[in-house]
Amino acid sequence: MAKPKVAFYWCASCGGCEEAVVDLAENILDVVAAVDIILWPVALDFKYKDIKAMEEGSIAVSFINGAIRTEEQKKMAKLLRKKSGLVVAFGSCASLGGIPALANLTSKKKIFKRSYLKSPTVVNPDGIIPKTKSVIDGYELTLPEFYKTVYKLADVIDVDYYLPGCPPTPELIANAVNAILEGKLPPKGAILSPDKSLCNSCDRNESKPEDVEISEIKRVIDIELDPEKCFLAQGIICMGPATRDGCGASCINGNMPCTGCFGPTDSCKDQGAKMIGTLGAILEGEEEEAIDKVIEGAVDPAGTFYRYGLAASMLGSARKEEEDE
Amino acid sequence: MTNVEKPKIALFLCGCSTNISNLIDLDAIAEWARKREDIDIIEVHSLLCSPDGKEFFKQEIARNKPENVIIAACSPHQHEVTFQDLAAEAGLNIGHIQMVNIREHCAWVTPDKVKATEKAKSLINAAMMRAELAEDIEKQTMIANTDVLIIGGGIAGIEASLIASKAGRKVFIVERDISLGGEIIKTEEIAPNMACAPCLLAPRLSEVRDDPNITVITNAVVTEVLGFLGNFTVKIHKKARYVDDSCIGCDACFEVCPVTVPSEFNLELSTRNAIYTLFPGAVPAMAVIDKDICKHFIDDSCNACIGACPFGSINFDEKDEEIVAEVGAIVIATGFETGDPSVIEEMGYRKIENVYTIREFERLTCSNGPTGSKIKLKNGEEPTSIAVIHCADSLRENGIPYCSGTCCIRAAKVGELARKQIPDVRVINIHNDLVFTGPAANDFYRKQLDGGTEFVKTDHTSIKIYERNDKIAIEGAGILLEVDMVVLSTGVKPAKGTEALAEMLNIDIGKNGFFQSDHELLHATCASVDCIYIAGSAAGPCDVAESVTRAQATVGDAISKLVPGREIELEMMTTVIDEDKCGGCKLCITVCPFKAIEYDAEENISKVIEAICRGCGTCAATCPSGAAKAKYFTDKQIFAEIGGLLNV
Repeated sequence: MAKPKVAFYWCASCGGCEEAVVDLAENILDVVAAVDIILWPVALDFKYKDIKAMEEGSIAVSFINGAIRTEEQKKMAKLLRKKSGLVVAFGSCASLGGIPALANLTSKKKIFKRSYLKSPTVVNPDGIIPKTKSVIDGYELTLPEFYKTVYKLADVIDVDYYLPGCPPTPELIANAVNAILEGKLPPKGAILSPDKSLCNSCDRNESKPEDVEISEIKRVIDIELDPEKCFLAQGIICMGPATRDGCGASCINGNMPCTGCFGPTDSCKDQGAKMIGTLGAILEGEEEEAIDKVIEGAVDPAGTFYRYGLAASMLGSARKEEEDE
Repeated sequence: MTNVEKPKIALFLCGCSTNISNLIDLDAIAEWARKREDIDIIEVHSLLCSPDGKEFFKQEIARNKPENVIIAACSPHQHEVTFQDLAAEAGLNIGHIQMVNIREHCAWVTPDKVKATEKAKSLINAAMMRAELAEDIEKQTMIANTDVLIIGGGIAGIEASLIASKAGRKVFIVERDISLGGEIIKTEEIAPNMACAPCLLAPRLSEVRDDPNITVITNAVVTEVLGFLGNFTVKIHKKARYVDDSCIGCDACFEVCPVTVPSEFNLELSTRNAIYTLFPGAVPAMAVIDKDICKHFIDDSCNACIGACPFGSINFDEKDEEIVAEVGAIVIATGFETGDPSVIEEMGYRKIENVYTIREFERLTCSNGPTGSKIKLKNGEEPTSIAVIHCADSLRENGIPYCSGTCCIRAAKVGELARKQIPDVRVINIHNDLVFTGPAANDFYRKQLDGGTEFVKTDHTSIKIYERNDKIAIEGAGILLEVDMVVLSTGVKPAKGTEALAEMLNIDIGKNGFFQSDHELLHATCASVDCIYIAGSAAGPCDVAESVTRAQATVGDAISKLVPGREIELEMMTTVIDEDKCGGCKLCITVCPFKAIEYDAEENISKVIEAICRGCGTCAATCPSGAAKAKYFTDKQIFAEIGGLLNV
């Protein structure tokens, strides 16, 4: 029997998810032995036309990481969807929009202006801005359309499973691959990580008092971090309570608070809003002025509460409807 | 959700006589509803809460057995319970009843009938969306606990306990001091009738002592209160006395005790020993050992009291005790604290000899007081002149900002008490405002004027008191005089610990720091939480009569609400935490105002104690992982409702 065909593809991403696959280390050999990788642009040379030539559904599973920022990414996602039995949104960007989706707070125009005209390291005396079509010496050159909005994968194609994380851990990847190979799959749409909050496996949860009131929000640069004590109890915003478990608390173990890359649990609609709501309930202060002062400590609300989830949030969806297609 | 048949929905539109029907086009709404495929039964009624209407409502539900019922009528505050009960009688679980307020929220907010009708449709649509996700709610009841906890053993607490006991209720009185009596026991005569305080109190104290229904817990404080009306669990910390209840307070041990310290009961005008009682005949009678100063506890150098005690009552090994009481109602009778005039520099209090507060002056006149009831100067002589300063610490920015309303009559008492002993004494009451409310108090004022007390008006904030020519000089706007003794009339402040107790009981405190009534006119003795009451001056300054009346009122309300054998309904719309989803982050515990959630360390989850949960939903709103779900107000239901509002 032929080995199942597997595709890895990357969209708007940093490459960290590809690293995570490589981080499977010697286990990757088992994967390679068990499957037939037919597409992996970061590591191997395949041609898109070969994929186009394949029969529909002939790829067992496509792992797609990264958010959807350009026309080309959307086309490839659609192509892989057509050719694949299963599509797994791999990592925070594919699942929730990830860090690239923070760009939804600004506009395409501003991004281009900054990147091609204003950035101090750019030399562009003619003020050339990339276009989808340019004619040079009679030759037409094309570039994919740069969308006005960053999308999560599920906004452009049907997604079967989600592997959360920035990046997903090798353990979760191995579990997912094994589950697919063995056909032991959860219901469609499942997020392949435990449906509890990170506090559940966090070693510091014991040190969290039953009365966690925050009188001053601090940043990690403000204080010497206690390596044992719950971050919230130290006044540091830790997204752990509003974030899905399964990462092994690696940031916490490195004495840094959770930034929320695993996204929310199944019961939660909007991770950022949820955490803001939670914090609102535990901040100290009776008078408006006192409360305002505490809130001032949260200097980067979007980057803190929506670092990974803006495209999947209710805020993100409002913007999408206005623009693009 | 695939192919699930939509629940059968019945919509009742109430005209509320003409309150709704004149302002909203109910026929248009009915027509709109009939065009929808998701409403099976549509009924318009002119007054659904009338006997006819109720019967009609009940019969329609019993006949058609709809899965969900929407009632577009008045505010749920008015008739939600009415329709819930009727629906329950007709066999429908009340979780499937949705009230839509088309009266206060639509008809009464605009004269524009078209807009009001449109808004009513949106609200009905929201309820429709919500109804699709309706879940059963279990009604839970329990037999009410009818026993009463009284915090504070002064005149109000004593009165409350006796009345509650007469109604057959078990009573726990918790008193911070070592015996009952409170503030009133420190005085001997109460104006305007100059009634004898010990004579009022003594029989009541004996009654309390001998009442099998009343448990007196002195030298104790309440440390935790959980639950709600008819169902409070109270933790009480009782400090060890080191003297057991075989002690009759005979005072044989006092003489042999080598330690003396200023007596709190006599306001430091005399001393007491390390083993002491407040006064002879106290309830309970037994003495107490002050561990902090007793030589046995300090360096084991003295056991004199053991030898002196004829009853073998001394027990140095006694331990503090934690007592748990289950009660149905709580009466706060924590009294007040007298203002401290040393905060007003110009009064010379604690700096000039023979400047007393009114409390101290009254101790001097008491037969069990430091001078055996003799009004004396520090040099032992009788004063020839006494000045009484009204508002010594009141109606001032740096003191008590308000008028306590009870101090003027007490200040006017000085002349009455002094002339009994020293007929020729000159008494001058220096005041700004004078407050004698009611005929009896006013008669008392006239009597003092006739008796020879001089009343001199000046701006009380201009008064300065200093020593001059071996006398005490009082200088103020338009006055300058010299006297032998000064009595400072002080105001009434909230008792120490009021804030902490309010926090523990989850009740409100008013602007001036006293416990806040639920309603100043209608429920003056009810706190902001049901079945927690405020008696005596814990609710604000008052005289003895009002203190006692308030105490009687509190118990009256408590025994009418909590009847033996009668069931009380528990909160139905509590919150549940899904064990499979809870990550044990404990943030719900932080926000729960009722201490109704506990952390299970073994399972690493938080759990709601249903009997304590009041269904406020704060935890459900806070829960960052969506594990906490408020019954009848789930996130899904609320989102559906909002969706329904936005998409008609």
